[in-house]
Parts: sequence; structure tokens; C-alpha cells
Amino acid sequence: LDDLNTIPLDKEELVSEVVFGSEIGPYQELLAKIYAGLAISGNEGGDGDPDVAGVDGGSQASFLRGLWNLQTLPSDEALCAWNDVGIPDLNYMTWTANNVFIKGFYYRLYYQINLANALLRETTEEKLSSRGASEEVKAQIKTYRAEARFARALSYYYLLDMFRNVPFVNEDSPVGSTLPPQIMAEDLFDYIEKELTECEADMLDPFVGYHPTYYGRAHKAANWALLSRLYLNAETYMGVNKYTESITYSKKVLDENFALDPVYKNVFTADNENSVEMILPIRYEGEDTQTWGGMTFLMSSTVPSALQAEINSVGAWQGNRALVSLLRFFERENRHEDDTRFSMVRTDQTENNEIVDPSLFTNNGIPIVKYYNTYSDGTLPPSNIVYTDFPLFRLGEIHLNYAEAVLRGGTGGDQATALQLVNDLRRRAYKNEAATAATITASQLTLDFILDERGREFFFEAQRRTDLVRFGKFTGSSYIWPWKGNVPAGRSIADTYKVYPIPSDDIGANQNLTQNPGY
Amino acid sequence: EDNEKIVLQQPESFVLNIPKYASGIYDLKNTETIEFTTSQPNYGFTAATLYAVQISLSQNFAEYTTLPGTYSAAKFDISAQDVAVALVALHDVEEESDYPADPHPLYVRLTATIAGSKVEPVYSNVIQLPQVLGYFALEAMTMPEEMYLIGNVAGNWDWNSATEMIPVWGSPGKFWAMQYLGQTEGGDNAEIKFNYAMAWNGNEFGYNEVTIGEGSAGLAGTSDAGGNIGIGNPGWYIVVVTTAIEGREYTFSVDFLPPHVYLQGNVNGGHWGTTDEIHRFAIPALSLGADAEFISPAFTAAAQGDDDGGVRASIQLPGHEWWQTEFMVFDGVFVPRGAGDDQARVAGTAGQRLSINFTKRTGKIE
Amino acid sequence: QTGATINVRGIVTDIAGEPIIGANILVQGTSSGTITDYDGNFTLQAPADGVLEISYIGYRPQSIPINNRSTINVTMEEDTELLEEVVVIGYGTVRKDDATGSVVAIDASKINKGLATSPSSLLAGQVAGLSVVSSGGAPGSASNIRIRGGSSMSASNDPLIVIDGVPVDTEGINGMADPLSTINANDIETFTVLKDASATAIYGSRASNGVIIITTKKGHSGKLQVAYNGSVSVSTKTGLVDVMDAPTFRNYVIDSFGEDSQQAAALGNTQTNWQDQIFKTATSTDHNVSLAGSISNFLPYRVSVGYTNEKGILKTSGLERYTGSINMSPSFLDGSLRVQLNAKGVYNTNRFADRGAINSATQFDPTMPVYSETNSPYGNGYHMSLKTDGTPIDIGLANPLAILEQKSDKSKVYRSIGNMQVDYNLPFLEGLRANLNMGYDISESNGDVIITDNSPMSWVWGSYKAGWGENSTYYQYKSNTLLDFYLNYNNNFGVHRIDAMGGYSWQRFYSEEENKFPYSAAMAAQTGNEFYKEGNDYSTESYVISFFGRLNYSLLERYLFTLTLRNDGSSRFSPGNKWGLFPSAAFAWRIINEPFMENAGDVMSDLKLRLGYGVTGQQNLGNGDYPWMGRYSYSKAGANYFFGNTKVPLIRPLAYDENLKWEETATYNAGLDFGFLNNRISGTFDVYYRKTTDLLNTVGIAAGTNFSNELLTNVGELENKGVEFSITGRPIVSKDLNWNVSYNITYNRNRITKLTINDDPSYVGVRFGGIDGGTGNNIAIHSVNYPSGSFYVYEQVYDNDGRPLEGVFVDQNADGQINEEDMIVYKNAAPDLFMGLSSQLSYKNWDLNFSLRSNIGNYVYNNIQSNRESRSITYDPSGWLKNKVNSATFTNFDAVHYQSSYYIQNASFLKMDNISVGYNFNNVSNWLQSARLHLTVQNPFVITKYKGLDPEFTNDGIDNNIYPHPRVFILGFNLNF
Ligand SMILES: [Ca+2]
Ligand SMILES: [Ca+2]
Repeated sequence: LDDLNTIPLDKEELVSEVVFGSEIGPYQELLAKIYAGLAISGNEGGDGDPDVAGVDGGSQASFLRGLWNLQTLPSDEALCAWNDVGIPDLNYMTWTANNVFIKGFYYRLYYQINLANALLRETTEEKLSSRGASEEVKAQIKTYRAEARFARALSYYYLLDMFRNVPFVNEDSPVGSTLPPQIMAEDLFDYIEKELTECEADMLDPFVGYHPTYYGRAHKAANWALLSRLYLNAETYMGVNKYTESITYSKKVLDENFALDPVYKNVFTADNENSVEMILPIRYEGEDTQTWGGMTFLMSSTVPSALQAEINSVGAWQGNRALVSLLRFFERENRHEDDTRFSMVRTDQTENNEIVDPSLFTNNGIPIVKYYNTYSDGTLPPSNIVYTDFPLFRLGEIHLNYAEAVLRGGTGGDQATALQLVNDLRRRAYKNEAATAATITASQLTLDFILDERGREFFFEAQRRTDLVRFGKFTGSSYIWPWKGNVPAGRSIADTYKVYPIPSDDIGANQNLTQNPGY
Repeated sequence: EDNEKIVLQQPESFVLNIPKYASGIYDLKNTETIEFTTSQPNYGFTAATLYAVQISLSQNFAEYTTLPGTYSAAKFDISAQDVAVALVALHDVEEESDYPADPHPLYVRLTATIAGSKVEPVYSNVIQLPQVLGYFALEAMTMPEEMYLIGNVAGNWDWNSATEMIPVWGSPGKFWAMQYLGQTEGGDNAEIKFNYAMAWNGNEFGYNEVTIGEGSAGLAGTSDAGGNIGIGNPGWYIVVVTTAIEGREYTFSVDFLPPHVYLQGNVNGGHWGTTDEIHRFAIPALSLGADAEFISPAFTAAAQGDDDGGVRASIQLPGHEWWQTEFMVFDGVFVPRGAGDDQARVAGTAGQRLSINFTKRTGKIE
Repeated sequence: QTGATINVRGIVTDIAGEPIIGANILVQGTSSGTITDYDGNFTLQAPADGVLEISYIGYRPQSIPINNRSTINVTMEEDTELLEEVVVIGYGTVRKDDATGSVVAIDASKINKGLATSPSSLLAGQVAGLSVVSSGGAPGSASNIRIRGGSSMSASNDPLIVIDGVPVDTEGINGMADPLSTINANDIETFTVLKDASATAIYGSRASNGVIIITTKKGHSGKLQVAYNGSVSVSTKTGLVDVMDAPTFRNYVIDSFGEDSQQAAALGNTQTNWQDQIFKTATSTDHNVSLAGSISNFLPYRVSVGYTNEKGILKTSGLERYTGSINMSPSFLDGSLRVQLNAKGVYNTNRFADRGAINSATQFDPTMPVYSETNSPYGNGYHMSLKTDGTPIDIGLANPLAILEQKSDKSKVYRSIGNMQVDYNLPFLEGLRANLNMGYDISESNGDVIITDNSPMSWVWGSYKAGWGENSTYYQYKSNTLLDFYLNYNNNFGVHRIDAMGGYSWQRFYSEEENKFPYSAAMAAQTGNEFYKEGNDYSTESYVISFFGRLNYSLLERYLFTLTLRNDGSSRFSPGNKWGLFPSAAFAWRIINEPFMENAGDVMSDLKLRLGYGVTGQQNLGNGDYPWMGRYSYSKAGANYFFGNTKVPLIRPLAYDENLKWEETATYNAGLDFGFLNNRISGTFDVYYRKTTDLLNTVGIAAGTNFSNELLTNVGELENKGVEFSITGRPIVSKDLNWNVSYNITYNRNRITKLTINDDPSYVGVRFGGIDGGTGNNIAIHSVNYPSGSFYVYEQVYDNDGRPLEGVFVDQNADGQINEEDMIVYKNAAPDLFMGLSSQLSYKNWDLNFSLRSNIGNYVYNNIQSNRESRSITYDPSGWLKNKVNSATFTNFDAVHYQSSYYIQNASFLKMDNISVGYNFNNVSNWLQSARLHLTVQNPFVITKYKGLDPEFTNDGIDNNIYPHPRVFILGFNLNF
């Protein structure tokens, strides 16, 4: 009868007692899984063996693809021509709690949180000691634990930003069928803030550009950048302004040696690991990190067929086009032809800047070519499977966070620095000879200008929805863009849509949850 | 089991209910909304139906108006103001004083369509609201989209030959034109008028209807010439019309500016301003008449036409960026940007000049 | 016979003096004879010194010398051996009359007239409650066998199959789709189908889906018999998907988009029927030789070898199969020690054709040529969609013919099943015997899949799209070893009969596999890598250990009781959940043996009522061997993360449910067996109710509670209710003309009664059933109160001509808009009713056999149509066109409406599975005893309203990429020496 007490035969099928011992390897591999969860959607290349169940891994449960879809499609930046279930509702802001893209992203975030919880559970002092881990191993694991907490806070940040009141679990929560409680936005904000400030000390010290051992991992400056962003949006999340705190953390980043990349485009090329602007990348390394989501999606879904070879992407699916409202960010500028950022808005690749028929792929809206799977010198990486890293946090954002927080009345910063930071960013974007034209004066630096500048700087970088919500322009009628609310000219939509609904699957599975109002 | 297939019955009609207080007076001016309830046309199934409201003064709907808006619920409120606006047209009154002062019957019916389909619309029964008191309501005013300048030196009072003014980018209701306002062949001073349509339709406006900017009046020596704007100082002027809305009326101001045209971009060494005289086009002698050319300074550098912005030119319009009034010459034709998108780029080489005939709207680079 | 011919008359009666109707009277050594009339009378001409052979089924045949008599009255005795006819049940046999459960035995030789190429196709349509659906027309396709509907949703619904006492692995082997093809159909003696729990409970945790016991042919005493079966067959396609031909498509494109459109510009100038390009008429052969005999009456043996060479109608598909079997059944100690030795083996080579070719052929632009006309360096000469610069469009369709000819997917499979069974009558107690059974089921398979460098697929498939072909090889080894032991005691005590059995069983399942991805030549040249992906290997095992017992008690030959109990232990569950107890009880009443039935005996020859109840389990969770453990898994190739320069593989925790346990199915069954006119008409009627509790379902779980958002857990409940009826008759019995016909009909209704932990009314269910078209679109759902695997759609509205109105759907919740809340659960792929009719008719030396089968109320999602019907999916902006079905101009849809109920179509059908005409040669020569020549057509016709190619699916009822069942013309010979 002892035959019935089997343990897995295969060395790759591992129970925790077998996996974790005194060596660092498995702990590092679990940490890597947390980071990889931002880049790819399963445990096998090309989104095989998916992490999130019941949805299409590559399209619906990819962190980056999901983030991009949820932040960009409902905004004034883009519209997607695909008719896949759920996509039109994102375009038109008519989603319901059954939307599969919302579901995929939501469960991706909880998957990330659970990974972090798993790492924290497996690396308690007690467990490490009982497994005979050396002090050196313990020291490394201390950093891993801090990064797991950072990663968990990052996921909770996105939950706060998109869903507000959400289920809460940490490493003390039992694995099994106990239903998690719902945490309110204020408490969640405090939790994220507390976690980030507590884990900071044990995180890696900031490094600039590529680091042969650590590049890809979150360091202290990533923590500060997230805090800068979190505080900037505090008023949106809980009606309390924290602009002063935002300035504090922006300054911490600015005090490090990061610098704006002299060439804007080089932040988005296959060798962007060298960019001095990068604070936290999502790394892609060709066939070792294969996915149909992530950067593969960002390139292939936007590039027109004619330019596919030029950017060396694996496909040219052509679903995503810019709305003319994105073009307007630039047209409100005197010398926008000289803005290198504008050169990525490929009006030359369309015969119609306006989207007349949302389902047509070509000559119907403006192709955006922002990401390149080519090196900055134009040479090609080893394959057309993407090598380009996604800048989840980069210095440019800190410049604008600082300026905006000052304009919104935060203390601890000053107008002159704010203007300087904005002008630095603009001078980098404009070609050398036009750099003086890029310079604005103090009177021109208004909040409306900041929103436009964010549009020019971060278009197609999955930031827009958050920005529009913070500026009060996402819902309602104060700002209308084409196809907002499912009419060609755009129309006002209800404030309900400022946050996404908690997926109906979770409402069905967890009696502790109350749906967001209006859904 | 093919009988299970749901087949659309194209219904003849459907029921619009008579509102509870239909017999009362609907004072549209003091009412926000009017509620209607209906039951869905009997399509044979529950359809996602869109309703629209039509009103008429006659039971037979000989003449009717469809109100703006559609409704997907069987109970909905329509805007009393929308009704009032439609009534003005149905009563066919031009003046507020002609508008009926007493309540009168109004007939209402609905049309139903199935959202997102090509299914034919269905009409409801007609109900009567016996006492509806309207008021003289008009739709919101919008800025004119066109503007014409006419005069003895501008089409010789023939609208077909009048000057079509150019919209200023991003400024609805604001137009400019580079206009020859010299003397006529007969030696008369120039006299002009404007209209936002190419017609003598009563909306044309001249000296008494416009405000002329202080500096402009002195510069051009304007005077009332029998209702026209008389030009005391013959010359080329940039004429600018700015429209404003007051109540339900347009008001206009007119400015006359010096005829300064600037060359911009790489071809002048990367200067983008509209102040430096050395980048200014030469103004043709008045004696050359309306058909004369403005000629740019010689290009100091080449422009590729695509990467680096090409040859660029604009007028100087205070308070506006150069690109809001820019224009270019394509295949010999002068094309202003107006309110439109970016223009294509034109290449040039060092030593060339851009010359423009603003009257004929032609030009060349050579 | 030299004597004079005289007139002989007589009457044939049974022992009670009742006349026997239809008894066969034959003059020995001739073909002349007659049968008795309704009064049992016969008359015939016979030589005065001849011998009459009198036979009637169920009675012992007699040979009576005429001896010049003109009147011969015959009294027939019932054949007690026949009365003792036994049916195989688990761990033993039972007299047919004593069976208390719903058990159907099928004599394979009676239904196999050389028609069936696989064991499972033999069973199709033969048994009420048993549905056999082949998964397609590819050579060696597996069949989907269901007994009384599925009892599971996410776990396996396959019945347990026991071959000569060895429960075999039904999960199949890589490279051989049909696990049953290990046995040659000609080697099968009987199938026994155990349907209700009182019959199956003895197999406990693996019996929820019923049990099929296969017994192979044995040797026998007597002279050596040699038989040969051979056939040549020709397979043809039965039809084509109704897509547009080139001129129609050209008109469609121009009408839809205009003469000057970019769509019209993308048209080619050729006319290609792509389906004709990929299909062919295929010829196959099959040979089987068997020898059966006995070595000096001590060692009966049977040996057979078979060879099959089967080609598919999809070009390049085919298989070669060698089978062998050997059986020896010696007995010792005066027959008190009996030994059975069985070994069966198969060696099978396959070449699989990629079904993607069928999909592509029904979409590929018919105005394009098969082969490149531009000397393009891409695609090895096959036409491809190219960009204006002449390079391949990476999201184009792969050339259908190239998919077949430029991809080689081959496998070699060995499998052997065997056992040794020793049965010993213990000398110290009369009626007590011991049985020891040791068995194995071992298989090994190897396969290579190669996509040629620079083939069209290498530019449009996979991750690289760079013209690099792909290679992969796989290896799999599985072994299943078994040891059973039981004691059986069987004795009569006056009116009491007792048959008691108790035993122990141990079974181990082991499997290992290994995959490798060696370089493609082009890729190796460019990247210098030996492997383009990391390989992987895996091994796993599980055990089942059981104690079981059964008691049969019979009183007065009328009242029969059966109790069984099995205690199963499975290694797949946590220590607290390993053991499960599966009881059953049954009662049968042989009403026909009651004294009050004596008078009915004239007409009624059998009447038995059966009542049964039992609990069975399901441990085949489809989730590996360790589903209850918290485990981690390593990432595979392509999934890593880099820290600095270091490539770090990933490990991740897997979701688990520590409390996972068996599904349990309780079955209630009531049945009536009846027979009339000496069983000339016999039949069975059963009603059943099955309820599965602790149903394993993958359900959404609260975010944050586990390492997935879905978890396989025991949560749901499912019920199946059904009625089965079968009847067999011999309407015509005569000397020259005989007709046997049997018919069965089954009604089954399946319903999910519970699905989630919370009964949340807003929860619509588990959506699944991915379709072609778009990304991530599902069409099916498991939803409470509906049959499992129903469709989930918007309800389409039609105009008076039956034309779907584009975009008009029922607003179910009447809120004025159409969104997901308006989707409904609608129809499902399982038939409400299914039935089979088989007929064997013989006239003199001729015979005519057919079997018909019908499903009623089964629905299909016509994905072929939904993905080839809308204008908006005609043109890809990269510059190429997709063909449309001809119905596109009828529906006239602009946009795609994948989720419309319009595409859920009734696929009820009546199908002639096979029809065969044979001619028998008797006593052909000294060395050839008999021979039969037959011509058979498989799948000659299907009557259905369904517009797709074939109404029969296993794929959740989703019609896409189906390898169509061919029509097969077979010319076969049987020779018996
Ligand atoms: Ca990289
Ligand atoms: Ca609805």
C-alpha cells in the first residue's frame, strides 16, 4: 500500500521541499518568474503553458499588452481595428464586467501578487535557516524579498489605478479557498506606500544604464519613481493630494545620475538596455523571452506592412492606429515638424488621418512607429523576435511628474526647476537647430500644456488613461475625442468609466466583493 | 425545429402612449423635458430598438420635424428646448413677434429602428398634445466657415470674382486675405464690403456694421463710402475679419495690416520668426496693380522638402503663430493651409526665390 | 446416398410437447431442407437411407437416420450448454440468465463480416446507450466512445476498456491515435458492455463511464483451422466544402468592393480548386491470417498475424500496421488447472497529414496558382502571398498543398498487451477456485515532425517566419502492469445458489516522454545552434490498489441478488483522500420462471426484471498524477528572464487543491429483458438515472487565493437521465431465406445541476470551445441547468425568407442594447436520441448486411461558415484575399458575427455506416472448406439537413479542420481452410 504514496518522479516536477534548499538558484528563478510575468504570459515560449487561465495568454493575459490596451485604447491616443470580443468596447468605452481583456489584466496582476507572496513565504528566516542557507545566500535573498515586495506593490498600484477597491492578499493569506477581503482605495494606497517605503532600504542601489549583473531588476530608483507616480495620482485615488510627497521622490530620482537619452528614439531600440534614461525596463531578449503579447504586440500591432522590414518586427498586424487627437498634441506646437517624437507619427503612411470606419486597417487613422527591433546604429539583432525592452519607468516621466506636482501646488520644488526640467525634455526631443524653438516660458507652462507634453512624450507608452483621469478629462464632456463613447465625433461618457469594473468572474467567486458603482 | 427560428415580423405600427398630463399646458420655455412612454413594436421578439421623436402641427404629418436624439428605453425624456426649436421652423416664422402667443395642439409620433441593422423603420400612432406653448427658440449659433471680400477692386462687385478669404488655423470665424486696395483704373479709391456667403442676401456688411481696429483705420485711412469701407490710403493690405457672436447675431471687426510676408525654415537659415525684415518678401509697386507678385529674399540654403521642413512662408498676424497662417505654392498654385492639416513640403535650392501672386493665387519657386 | 427418394413428414416439439416453429431440417450432406411450420410440421423429399439434421437455436441439434421411415417426430431438448451461456463480467463470468446488471454481450464474429477496420467501428450503432463517433476520416483515427453520456466535464469520459482481463490505457500514445488499434478486429471474440453501476462497480474508481470488456478468440480442440481475411479498398471523398470557385470569387470581390478597389487588384488570374489539390482517391489493403487448433488436445492455441496498409484521402496521410496475437490455453490436472496465455502486439508506422491544409484549402484564394509563376526564391516553388517587394507576407495563409508535401510528420509505434491467467480449482472444497492474473500493456512510440526549410509554412508559421524549417522528435514509453488475484466459490444448495468472489488488485501506470528540437539546416547555418529549442523530458507514475468482492445469490432460479464492493486506493490523491469505497446492489426477478407464467410460455420465452444501484468513481482527472500537491514547475524554452547577462530560467508555483478527490457517480437502473416465440424476438428496456457528485470542474476562484484564477476542484454536480430500448428479431427464418434484424434506441439527457462554490446567479458558467476567427473567441459553455458543453450565443433573428438579418439579435434582457448580457445557452452537440439498426439477410449463398445509425438533436457550430462568410474578412491589408463559402451571398453579412445562433445548426443525421453483399462458397475443395467474397461500401450515404461536409464530430461540436470521413469501397475475401 505504500505504493500509493507517490512523489513526482520527474526532476522538473517539484514539490517545495525538493525545490528550495540552501542554494540561491531556485530562489533566483522564482524571482525571475515575477519579473518575467511582466514580459511574457506563460512558462513556455510563445505564451505556452499560460499563467492565467481561461483567457488567451498572449493577447489577454500579457501584462504589457493588457496594460497598453487598457491605458491606450479608451484614450485619445488610439483605436484598434480588430473585432475580437472585447476590443471594440475598449475603443468606445462601453465595456462591461465581462470584458475579457479587463479580466485578463486583473488576473495577471493577482498572479504577480501571488508569486511575490510565494517568494516571501518560502524565504522566511526560519525556513532559510532550517534549510541551511549560508549568510551570503540569506543576504541575497534579503534583496529578493525587497524586490518581491516592490513587485507586489507595483501590481497593487495598477489595481488601485484601474479598479480602486480590490481583493487583498499578502504572504500571510492562506493558499486555498479562503475568500480574500476587499480593501478600500485609501487603505490600499496606505499599504502600497508602506510597502514601498519599507522595502526600499533592502533594494539594490540605483545604477545607470546597463549593469552586467543586475540590469532588469528593480532598484531603489524604481521604487522612488513608483512613489512619485503614486503620490501624483493620490488625489484621483482617494481625494487627498500628495504633490509634495511626489516632488520628494521625483527629486530622489533626479539626484541620481540618470540622464535623458540624447536621442529620443534610442529609448525604444533593441539596445535600449544601454539607455541612461531607463529606470525600470521590462526586458525582452529575442527567442529567450518569446511572446505574442508584450513588445511583440507593441511593434507588430502598430507597424504598417510597408515599414515592417525597417523596424524588424515579427509581424505587421496593423490593428492599432493613432486617432487624429494624437496628431493634435503636436499640431498645437509651432515647430512640431522638428520634434523627433513627431517623426514617429507616420501621417505619410496613411491617406486619411481621420478614422472613418473603425474596422478598416489602412488609410484610416495614423500609424505610429515608436518601437524598433533594430539597434540604434541601424544594425539588426540576432532575430526578428524582439530584443527591445519596454521602459516601464524612465527619467522623462520624472521630469514631468516634478513639473506637474509643482504646478498643482506641491511644495519642496520650485517653478524654475520645473520649467528647466520641461525644457530639457523638449530640447532633447527637438532637433539640434530647433532646440531653441522648443524652449517655453514660465507663462506657457500650464497644466494643459503638461497634459499635451505628456501626450507628446509618452504616446503609445501605456500612460494615457491615468493622465486623462488625473486631469479630469477621461470621462465627462470637458474633452471629447473621435470615437469616445462610440460616435465618430466623440461624446461625453459617464464617470463610471474612470475605473474598470471588477471582473464578473471574481464577483461571482468572492462574496466579499462589492462591484464598482455603475457596473 | 426550424420553427424555433425567430422571424422578424415587420409591424405596421406600434403604440406611443398619451402622457398622463397631456391635457395640461406644456409651457416649453419653463419645462426641461417631456416624458414619453411607448411599447416596443411587435417585431415578434424583443429587439434592441432605437426610438426617434417626430412632431408636426397637423394630424396627418404633412410637414414634420424629427427631433435630435434617439432612445433605447421605452420610457424617455425629450428636451423641451429641442421641441421649441423645431416648432420655430414648423411655424415658419422669422421674427419673434410673429410667433404664436397662444397654446396650440402639437402632434407627436415615434419611429422605431433596430439598432445596428438595416431593418426598415416603423411609425407609431400619432398622439395629440392639445396645448403646447412654444417660444421663439433658435439653434445655437456657429461661426461662419467662409468669408468673402468684395469691392470695386475685388471682383468689381461681382460675388463670383470676389476674394475668398483664408481661415486662420485654430481660430473659427477669423479670416485673412492679402488684398490689393489701390485705386481703380478710373482713379477711384477702393471701396469694399464683406459677406459670409457669395451672395447679396442681406447679410453683407460694410463700414456701418463693422468695428475697424484703431491702428488699421489710420493705416488705411478708412471712411464710410456709402456703407462701403472706403480706403483713403491706396496700397496692399492684409485684411483680417474677426467674427464674434452676440446673442443670435454676428458682429465683425476688420483690421488692415501692412502686407508683410515672411520666408521661413532652412531656406532662410532656420529662422521661423515673423519680425525680421531681411526675411520679408518684397512688396510690389502699387503701380503694377493687383496682378503683381510678392517676391521672397533669395534662399540662403537648400531644403529637401521632406525631412527638414522644406520651403515655408507665412504672413505676420499678431497673436498668432506663423504656421497658423502659412501657405505654399504647389505646381504653380498658391495653397494656404487655412484651418487644415499640415501641408506637404516643397523643396528649394540656395539662390532661388519664392514669388506669389495673391490676386491670381499663383506662384513659383525659381 | 443411393437409396430411393421418399417423402418424409413429421412434427418437431420440445420436451413439453409444444411445437417448435421454424426449426431447420436438412438432409445431411446436401443443401436440400425445409423448416417447420406454425404447428411444428415439416415435409420433405429425402433419400430413404439419408440422415436428417434438425436444428433450432437454443436446442441441441439432432441427426436422425431416416431408415426408410415416412414419419419422423422429433423431440428437441434444450441445449443446457446454451442455457449455461455465460457473459463475461469483471473478475469472472455469470450465467446470462443470472445477470442482474445492464450487460450487453456482442458476438464480434456476427457483426464483423469483414466490414470493420477497427474494433471501435465494430461497436458503432450496435448497443443501446453506447455511442461511437470516429474523430474523422484520417487513417487510424480514434473514436470517441461514450456509454450513457459523459459523467464528467473536465475529467475523462472514456469508458474503461479491459482486454482479456487487462484494463488498458485509453489515453493513447503519441503517434497512434486509436489505442484500440492494438487489436486486430478479426481477433475479437466478444465485446461485453457493462453499462450500469451494479455491473461496473466492481471496477470502482475507473468505472463511472462504463466498462467495455474485450475477449479475444481462443484456440480449440479439433483439427487445425486456418483462416484468411483480406481486402482491397478504395477511399474517396464524399464532398467538398462549398466554397466559391475562381470566377464566382472574382465576381464577389468586384461586386463587394468595386473594380478599382485594392481588393480587386489583389485577385489573381488562375483557377484553382484547392480542395481538389489536397484530396485524392486512396487505395488500401488489409490481410489477416489466423491458425487455430490444439496440440494433442492438451494445448489449444490460436495465432494470427495481420497487415494493413491504409492510405488516407488527404494526400500524404497513411499508415502501415502489423498486428500479431497468440493465445494458448492449456489445462492441467484433469482440467482443474487452467492457464490462459495471451499476447497481442502491434507495430504501426504512420504519416500524418496536417489538417491545417483543409482549413487553408477552403480559404486560399482560388484565383491563385498552385505553383509560383514568378520564379520567386521563396516557398520552394509553391505559390505564396508576397509583398510588392517580392518578399513573403508573414501573415498569409500557407499554400494548402505545400502544407502536405513540405511537412513530414511520421511516427513508429510498438505496443503489446498480454497476460497470463491461472485458474485453479482448489481440491479441498468443491466449487472453490483461485484465479491469478498478471498482465501488462507496454507501448513505445517515436516520431519526427519536419517542416522543410524555405517552405511556405516556414515563412508564415511559428515564431521566426524567416524561412527556417522546424524539426522535432518525440519519444514516449508507457507501461502499465497488473496483478489480480481472487478466490471464487460457486455452489448450489437446493434452491439456493451462491457465487462469491473476493480479490485484490494492484496496477501501476508509468510513462515517460522526451522531446527534442534539432536544428533546421537553414537555421543552423544562420544561428549556429544545434537545437532551436531546448528539449524536455518527463516521467510520471501512478498506482491503483484495490480490494473487491462480489456475492451472487440465486433463489429458486427466480430471485437473483448481487452485491459488490470495491475499495480503491489511488496514488493521485492526498493521504486523507486516497481510498474510496464503491458499493453496488442489484436484484433481478426471472418472472418467466414463475409458475404463473407457465401459460405464457407459448409466446413468451423470457421475462426478467432488473433493478440496480451502485456508486462508481473517476480518478482519471486529466490533470496529471499529482494534482493535489503544491508543486513548482520549470519553464520551457522561450520563457526566461535576464538579470544582467545571466539568462535565468523560471520556476513557478502551480495551483493545487489539496482536498481533491474522486468524482462519484451514483447510478439507478431499472431494466426489463424479454423474449417471445422461443426468443425469436428478444429485447431489453432500461431506464437509468446517474448523478455525479463532487464533479471535477475547473472553476474560477477568487482572485488571490491560489496560483491561478481557475482551479480543478470537486465542486459540481451533473446528472444524466436516459431510456434505452433494444430489440432483436428474426422475422424470416426459412431454408433459403433468413433475416436477422436488430434495432436500438437511446434517449439521454445531461444536465449540470451545480457548478460553482457559490451559487451566484450572475455567473454564466465556464466558457470554452475556442473557434477559428479572431483571437480568444469561445463558443461553448458549461452552465448550470443546461447540458454540459452547450453553445453560448446571441439569438439570431431572420427575415421571412429564412435569411439572417445582419446585426439583429434578440435583446434578452430588454434593456435596449445588445451586449454580453444578451447571450444565451443554446443547444448542444450531444444528440437527444441516437439509434442503430443492423440487418443480416441471407438467401442461399448470398448475404446482404448493413448497419444504419442515426443521431437526432445534435447541433454543430459551423465554424467553416462563420469564418468564411463575411465581407470584412475577405481582404487582409497586407494584400491578399481569403475565399468565401457560396452562402456568403445569401447571408450577405458585412461584418463577422461569430457568436450568432445562426451558426448553431442542426446536424441530426441518418447514416449508413456500411452495406455489404457477400457470396459464400461451401466445400469448395478438399483443402478449402469455405470461402466468402464480399463487396462492402462504408459510409455510402448520410441524410442530414446540415450543410457542412459531415454532421458527425467529436470536437465539442465545432466544425473546423475536420478530416472528412471517406466513402470506402471494399472488396474482401474470407477463406477458411
Ligand atoms: Ca533587450
Ligand atoms: Ca440587452
